[in-house]
Amino acid sequence: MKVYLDAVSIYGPGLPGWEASLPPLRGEMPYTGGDLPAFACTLLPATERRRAGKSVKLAMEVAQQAARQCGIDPAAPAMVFASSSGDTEVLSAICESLAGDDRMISPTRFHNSVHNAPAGYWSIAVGSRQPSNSIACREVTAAAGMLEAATQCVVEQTPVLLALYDIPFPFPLSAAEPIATAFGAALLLQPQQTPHSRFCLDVELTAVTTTEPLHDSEFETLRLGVPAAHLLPLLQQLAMNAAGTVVLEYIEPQSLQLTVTPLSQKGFS
Amino acid sequence: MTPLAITSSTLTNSLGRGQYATLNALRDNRSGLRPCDFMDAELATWIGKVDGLDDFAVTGTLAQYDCRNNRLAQLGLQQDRFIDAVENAKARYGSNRIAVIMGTSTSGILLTEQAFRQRDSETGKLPDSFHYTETHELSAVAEFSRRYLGLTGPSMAISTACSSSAKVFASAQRLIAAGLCDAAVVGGVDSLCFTTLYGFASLELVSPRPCRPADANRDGISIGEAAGFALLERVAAAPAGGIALLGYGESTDAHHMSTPHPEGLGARLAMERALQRAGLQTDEIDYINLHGTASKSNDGAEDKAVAGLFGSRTPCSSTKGWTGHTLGAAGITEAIIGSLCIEHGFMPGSLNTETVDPAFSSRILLHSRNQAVRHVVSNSFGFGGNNCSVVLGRIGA
Repeated sequence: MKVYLDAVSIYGPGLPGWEASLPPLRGEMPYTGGDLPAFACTLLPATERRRAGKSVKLAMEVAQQAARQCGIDPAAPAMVFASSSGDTEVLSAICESLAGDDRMISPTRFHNSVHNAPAGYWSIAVGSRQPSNSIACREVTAAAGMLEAATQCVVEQTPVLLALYDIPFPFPLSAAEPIATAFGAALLLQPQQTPHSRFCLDVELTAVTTTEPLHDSEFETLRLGVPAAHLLPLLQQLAMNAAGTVVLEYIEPQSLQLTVTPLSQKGFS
Repeated sequence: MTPLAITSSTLTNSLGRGQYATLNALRDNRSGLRPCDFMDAELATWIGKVDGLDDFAVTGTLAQYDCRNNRLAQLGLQQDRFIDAVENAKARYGSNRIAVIMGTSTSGILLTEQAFRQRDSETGKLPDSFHYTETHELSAVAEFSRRYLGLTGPSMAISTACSSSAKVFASAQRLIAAGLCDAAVVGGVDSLCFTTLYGFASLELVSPRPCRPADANRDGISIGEAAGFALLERVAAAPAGGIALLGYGESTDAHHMSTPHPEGLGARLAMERALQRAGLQTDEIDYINLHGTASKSNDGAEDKAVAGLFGSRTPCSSTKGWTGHTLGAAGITEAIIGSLCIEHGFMPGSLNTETVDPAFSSRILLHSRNQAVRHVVSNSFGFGGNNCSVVLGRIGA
């Protein structure tokens, strides 16, 4: 199943956007982590920005960066939002309230708790009536998101904006479900090659089950620590603008195989 | 689109275990709703509760998955010879070639709510026995169902609030059309929990009496729980005349996080896209199963969308007066009710509804009737303005 990549974005500790993240992704300098960049969230009106949770801001940040990179009207593509646990902070706050004396949780907190909150805020912000999906699949959420986005792109012949995002649980759920840090990435998929296409991506299920560890041990720690960061092997391949195959772990005994073919000299840089 | 056969289906909810319990209750005008008696919830509302889940613990190799939501999934999977149908499909396609896509809004959050009540008073820790990934993570019920059925095809959870288990049909169709699998188990499971009971109460969206969809005096929803599953295969694998998914349509409102577009624009777009994929005109639809939550805003907006597209001719009703609003399981519940209507030549009325809102223009059925049904549209709309409609009919009809 072939799709074309017109844009990519990344967010994580010490990874403030695609351009600035290229040196560590290419292995030109070691990845050392760092602070989480501030969210710009320019798409959200002030009132919504106050209401929205951190996961909404993260998902919208990476989605907006990708849309801007290729200049597509953000209302045009179908949306796939993928995250293992969505807004872990809102979920924790709700469970805490419900264990207390007053169980009446705040209405805003309740509507922010739905997994499709980013999809809702995004569609309102950009005025999109396109289909939007919100999915989850534990530590293999990146593969599931990629598969949903690619099948929708190819079968419906529509551009698809895939946004992957995860934020950590606060204590005490952090002990039961450790998510190491906030991480997000987005890809703009096209069913046919466009002037903005920089890669062809062949997406298939495969019996190969092992994902090769990333060479940079800090990146490998990030990959293993956050479900959304399981996309890092692909992001690294795109940063290097190199032909090759990456494997994302999925449902054993099958994995998702992504064969990358660069279409230009400079890739996304 | 190429239709997909629904070769097996099953439904468990407050009306009983197995899809014929639902069919019989629809025919007998028997509601599954009762005054809220869920654990220690103190809410003046009615609920659609599935009895006996305490006796259906998940045990053995899947014991870590034990929670109310997965118990409900397990009880549901055991009805209507659904497992036999999946075994049969496994023998034909192989377990790698059957996908499992499940909708849920809150997964097993009840267990996390309970764990928070049992925090260690000194350290604040949750009990050691608590397993989050297997119970509450949103794909827990997809993973439980996949393992319970012994399937290894593509899998994921869809969580778009109350449209979740309608959208599973769309994603499954795409996976099959793309050749990544030959069949798919789709479904939805949502179970009672304090998050939704108190969350909808805080939004002042729950009714103090059994919900009355489309009624002039409707005053909110009744929350229910349900598990539903369907096995989808290419039509070549199924007998002519069997039930099929003919189309689906997805849209977003781009309006508000918790209230639908007042003119129902997103809802109408979902229905239009579903009809287009099915290659059907509005006059070929015999019955519409409405989302019909009995909230003021949903039913009003949906009426505008339905009347705008279908006029005042097509019979429609919400079945939430029977089952309650089963949230992430509503899509699959009502798709299967739609297929039962086609199979048994039956249209349910709008239970509990006394006087249809005089502002409504669509043709709300107050009383059930026996009548041939060729094609059904089933609507599911969720928070965040997330809409999905499906069209059902017969293979080769």
